[in-house]
Amino acid sequence: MTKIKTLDDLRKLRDSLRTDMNIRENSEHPDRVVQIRVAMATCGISSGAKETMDFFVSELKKRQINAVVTQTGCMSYCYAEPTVEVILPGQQPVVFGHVDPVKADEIIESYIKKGELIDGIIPVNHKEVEQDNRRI
Amino acid sequence: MKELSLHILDIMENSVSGGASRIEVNITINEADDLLAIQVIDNGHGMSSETLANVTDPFFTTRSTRKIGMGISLFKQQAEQTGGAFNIKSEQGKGTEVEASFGLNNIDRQPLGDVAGVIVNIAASYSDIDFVLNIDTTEGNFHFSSHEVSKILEGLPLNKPEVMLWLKELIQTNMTDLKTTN
Repeated sequence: MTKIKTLDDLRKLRDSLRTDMNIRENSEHPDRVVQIRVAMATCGISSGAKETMDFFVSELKKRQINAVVTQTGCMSYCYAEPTVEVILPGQQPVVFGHVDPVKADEIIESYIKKGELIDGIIPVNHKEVEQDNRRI
Repeated sequence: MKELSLHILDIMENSVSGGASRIEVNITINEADDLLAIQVIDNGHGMSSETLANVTDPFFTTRSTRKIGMGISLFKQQAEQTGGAFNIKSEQGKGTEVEASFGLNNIDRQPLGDVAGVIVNIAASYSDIDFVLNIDTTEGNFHFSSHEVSKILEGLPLNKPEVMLWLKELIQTNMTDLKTTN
């Protein structure tokens, strides 16, 4: 396929992807797909969080894993940046620290694909952090 | 931060925290004037005069999670070390405008970096906010709006990796044509 350069090129791609009804169905039920959130405050950005997010985006597509990847504000773990929250369908969020592309690869292969817990988990999730901050 | 695009990303995250519904990034490149200008404009809550007066102080932040706020001060430093200038205007209830100019060919200027990536990543993350990118160079100009693209995609979510990679390619291809890769 030639390079995507115009909005018409996007329309053509949209029509081809629309044939995959599974994606649209899941987009209406985000709890059915793997959700990945990368903390992207100054500390995260300076520690390579964008590179980590780019790795997840490209590798999840390559490995055909149904997932959504988003960035979020500070998770309050400046010492452990880049930090990433992963939510497997039907499970509690898990936050990983020091997630460079090597760690991200391990998260995909061990936690996302097999559900196996790996080193680097921060024992709290993003919601709890937000609640803690409100108490300060 | 090693690239100007990462500073843009950091400032856009501030705009998100500031409740903006529209965040516009304008990048102007003028070879004849040896100028690279970056402007980030949002329609968020804006800042009080006290916050605005302290915003370039690295030991000032409005956040409770930590006691320093390096983002704006680092961006200002990057502009000034290339012979450029930094300016920030903000009004409560109206929004904030951050503007930095750089010596385009100054040896200390950081590369522009992956502007396409930062725009797409943040647009995919906050679908309610319209992220607008305008590039203006002597070669021509380019306009991108995440809400315009969302309409074209008719319900396909921007945060699907396939869609994110398309949008990055769309922006990157146009930026390359406008010779704004660095």
